Amino acid sequence: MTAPLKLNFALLLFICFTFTAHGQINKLYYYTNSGEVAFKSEAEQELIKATSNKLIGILDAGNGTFVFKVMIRSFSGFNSLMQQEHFNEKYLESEEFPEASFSGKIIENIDLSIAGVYEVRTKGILKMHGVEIERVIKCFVSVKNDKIFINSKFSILLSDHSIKIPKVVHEKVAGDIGVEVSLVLNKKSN
Amino acid sequence: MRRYFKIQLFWITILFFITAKIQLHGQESLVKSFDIRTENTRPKILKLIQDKSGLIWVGTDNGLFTFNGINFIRVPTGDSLYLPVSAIFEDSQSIVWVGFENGRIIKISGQKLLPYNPKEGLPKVAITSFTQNRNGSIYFSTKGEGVYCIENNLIYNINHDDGLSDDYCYSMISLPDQRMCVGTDKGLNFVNLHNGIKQVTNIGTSEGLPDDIARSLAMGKNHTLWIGLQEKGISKFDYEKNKFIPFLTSEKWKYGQINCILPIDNRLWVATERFGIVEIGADSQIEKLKLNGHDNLKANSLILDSENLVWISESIHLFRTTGNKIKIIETIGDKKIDFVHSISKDKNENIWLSPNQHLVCLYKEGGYKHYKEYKIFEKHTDIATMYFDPFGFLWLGTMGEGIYRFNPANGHYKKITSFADNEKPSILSINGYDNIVWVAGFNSVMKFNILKNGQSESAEISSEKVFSGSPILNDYVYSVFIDSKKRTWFGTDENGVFMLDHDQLRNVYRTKNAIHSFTEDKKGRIWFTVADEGIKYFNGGDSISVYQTKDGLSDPSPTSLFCTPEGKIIITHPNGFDVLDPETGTFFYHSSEENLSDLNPDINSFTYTFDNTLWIGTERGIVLYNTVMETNKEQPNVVLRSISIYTKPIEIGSSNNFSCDENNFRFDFDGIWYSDPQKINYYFMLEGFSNKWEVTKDHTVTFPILPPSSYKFRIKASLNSNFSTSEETVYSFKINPPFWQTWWFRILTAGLISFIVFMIIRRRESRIRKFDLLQKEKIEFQFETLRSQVNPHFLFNSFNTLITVIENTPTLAVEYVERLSEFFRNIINYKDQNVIKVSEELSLLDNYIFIQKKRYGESLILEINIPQPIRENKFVPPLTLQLLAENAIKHNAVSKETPLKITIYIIGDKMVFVNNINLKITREVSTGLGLQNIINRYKLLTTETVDILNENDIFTVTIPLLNKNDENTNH
Repeated sequence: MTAPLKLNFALLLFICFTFTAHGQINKLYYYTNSGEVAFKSEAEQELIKATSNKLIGILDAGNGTFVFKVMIRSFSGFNSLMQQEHFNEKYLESEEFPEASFSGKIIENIDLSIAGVYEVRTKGILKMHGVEIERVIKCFVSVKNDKIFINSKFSILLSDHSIKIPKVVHEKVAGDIGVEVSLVLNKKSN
Repeated sequence: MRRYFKIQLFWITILFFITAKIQLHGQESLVKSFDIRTENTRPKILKLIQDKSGLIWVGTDNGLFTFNGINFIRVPTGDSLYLPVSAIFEDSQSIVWVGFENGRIIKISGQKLLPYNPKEGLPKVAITSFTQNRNGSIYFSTKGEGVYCIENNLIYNINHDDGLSDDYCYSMISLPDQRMCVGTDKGLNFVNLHNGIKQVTNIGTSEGLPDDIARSLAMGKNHTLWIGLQEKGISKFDYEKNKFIPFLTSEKWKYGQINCILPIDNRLWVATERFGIVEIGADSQIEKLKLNGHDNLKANSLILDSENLVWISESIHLFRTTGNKIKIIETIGDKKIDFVHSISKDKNENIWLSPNQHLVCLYKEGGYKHYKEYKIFEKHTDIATMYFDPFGFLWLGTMGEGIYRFNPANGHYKKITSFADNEKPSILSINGYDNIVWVAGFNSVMKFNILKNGQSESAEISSEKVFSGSPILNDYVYSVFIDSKKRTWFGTDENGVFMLDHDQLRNVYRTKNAIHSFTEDKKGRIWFTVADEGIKYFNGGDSISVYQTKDGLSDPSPTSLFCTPEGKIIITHPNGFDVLDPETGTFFYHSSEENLSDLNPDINSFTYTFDNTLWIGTERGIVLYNTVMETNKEQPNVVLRSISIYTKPIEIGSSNNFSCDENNFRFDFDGIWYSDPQKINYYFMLEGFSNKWEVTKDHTVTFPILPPSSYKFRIKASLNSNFSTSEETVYSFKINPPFWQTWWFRILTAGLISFIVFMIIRRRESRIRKFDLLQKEKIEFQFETLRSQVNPHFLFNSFNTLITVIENTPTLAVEYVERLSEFFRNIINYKDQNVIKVSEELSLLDNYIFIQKKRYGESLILEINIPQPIRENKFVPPLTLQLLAENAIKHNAVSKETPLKITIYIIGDKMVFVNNINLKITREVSTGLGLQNIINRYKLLTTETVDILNENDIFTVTIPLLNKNDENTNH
């Protein structure tokens, strides 16, 4: 598990760099490298669920832009090893498309420096299985003690991301996958 | 036609068993879906437009297509062929602008692709929409770079720095006041660019917009805008007064993100992200559209076409719906509405109908969504006909239960018993005017008169048996019709049409086929159906005109006729209805293509309401036909989609002059009639090739080898075989004859040939002349030479010399004579030749000098300095040097004191003859021909000249040296 970690770190550095490169040195950043993503596919015959706590991301509190990424292979907790293998090889083809990401901005004008709980919409590009879809995703954001807590539940249509499900297993995989994300962003010390 | 009733009775019995209830919505448009299938993908549809010619353009995530109602045809867009199309727009010049996801833009004019590569560069993000303001400036919006405007060929970017609230633009709409309204992630922006000056104002949540994300925009009436929001439904904004107008409250909206809004009259069609299409009525009532069983769809684009059909794009599907033009009511609430045998409206525009043997009232209030059912009959009884008398009472004619007079106000009714001698008659038609009510059925016609208390249930009604003795009484009368002149018309089963005018009954049309329905057109002509024969009308007096299937009628036995307020004749038949324009004879069809099959409408089951809607009662339910929404065009127009020469498409609209080898023409065309594209017939002619119209159903016609000429391809389309009202599409072109068949080429060739012939003749003539001249010169020369040589002096001198030689050295005399004779022989030998070798000439000269030397001794000095190659390879005319030597001897005194020295040498390619001048005191007689003769001969042989120089007592003659072939070339 060291290799993805290194990669994640490099990614984070890269993200930080690209943000600072835009001359927003004095802006406030929040980041995480241990966000939790869980998904659930509730098909008639089979329930598939898995979790990853390797979600990395950074949020620019100044303008509300953000990037979040997770490596597909970091998901664990499947019912069986075979299920995990199918997930990686057949459905998400993690060899070819190793990560899923969501990058965009917060629509509502909120001041993230003020403690409180907000319901916001985030708008951005959800990239999964190599397919980019513009999505508006609702999130609960709470700001407390220099930390930002984000919780979100949304669903992903497999057909949106060209994830094909063989007819035989149609009853085992739902077309609509429920995703739950929860993470804590820490203030980045400049 | 009694069979008809057997079928009906069969249905009546079977009805008891139909109990299944299906939960359906009220008024439904009729839907058909189309999928794009390309070589290996099923592209998702992202954008739709209809251009001015009527063609629908489909932008997908896999390139651009046109759709002719049957096929999707890929539009060649060069190197953008498979790029996702994110915006399509047709500008006022009919140029189609196509924007791609990657920011690329192309323009298409005719078939011509106009790449758009401004020097300022193109956006790097998706183009979301194009618009054009009244000055013709094109605007386009982008996903992340704001708005661009092309003004005077310059591109201006209007973005966050210019005051745009957000650079992520979803859609843009052009307002009549020159401004553009742009929907972004942070509200609305009103943008204007004039002479390079940017003006931007924002409307956001703080100004009252319910939601920041304004996804879609549409123009409303009275300077209003419809704004489709991401989360909170639809907002209505007055852009002149700058204020929001209350519309749907956002709490009421539970259909999520709005991708497109299409206003039709006072209704809105809304495409949503996850709930397909919803329709919002004027009363803000929301109805969800059923799309072929697909329920929760991601609808992204909506257009209303020129035939008032609504097109919906959803993922890989393109749905065509009858929009608000034709709808069908199959259920109301959970009440199934089918087997509607009769339908009528009261004076309050409430609809009364008899579905499934019940009496039902549909209330106008609430948009005909609420109903009340009345129970009249103990057992199931079919109501075949209804009539509202002037007192607002509803007359019900039943099958087997007689006539009832029903009071809609309280639901009370009374049976009218006295009908013929039958207690339980079957009634087929009731109609009337003023106080008179005509009731017709099986073997009976009765005339009722409302004498008193018409407004109450206990009205005094008299009945009267009429037409005793007439065959009408032994027949079925299907229809009683009162025309505008209060004449009463009766349609019978076997005796044709009877007309009652001023108490006089006439059998105005006789046939054994059943007459089911009448109508009166706007010109007062009476139309009627005749089973198996079509529809007929009285065209002045008793003259009758007819429309049959060959004239475009789709069913030989139409069910009923109805004339709309627009003057169109609606003809119902079991699988739909035809719309006939009696002025032009054109038919439109609404049938199985629009999912109207198995209607089996009942005879004369019509009513027409205030909202321009014709209600048609059918077995399937009620068909609602909005007659003003019918298209104004008479026939399909034809779009020339492409013209190819040897399968290579050409640019339509550019040059139409072709060369003779560009003679294989293929025309691809689409008739635009989306309601029923399969019905289109094409009529085409290539004028100049065959001046005969031909009919086809193909979308392609090819002319393989066209001879050079001027042509005019004319094409028109019709939904049947009547092309008289069709608009023609014309393409004129010319195939130029090959250049060798053009008049100028022929003239030029003729000129050239005559010139060449002329030149040949001239050259030949000049050569002959030259030859003659040469011949003459030669003869002259020979003559001169002979004369000079044979001149007595020469001979005397030679003989005197010979005497001396004989005396002194007799041995030498022999040589002398030999030389002399050789000299003369040579002269004779060479006389016919034009040139001789230099060596030959020199030997001749040598002989001559030898002879002369015997006379002059050492006083005559000859020096020859000519290299051997020249002697052998170069030529001179014969006797040239001899003549010059003779000339020198003749003119100069040759003595010991004044010797004559002749030198011959070569300079370059010339021979130089030099002698010193020491003129004789007594001049010898000279013919003067010698030198001139040499010059003349050279002129004929070469362009080089003979130069004679006489100075400083030196006489120099320069003679050109000739080659052997000089003589030939000059011949």
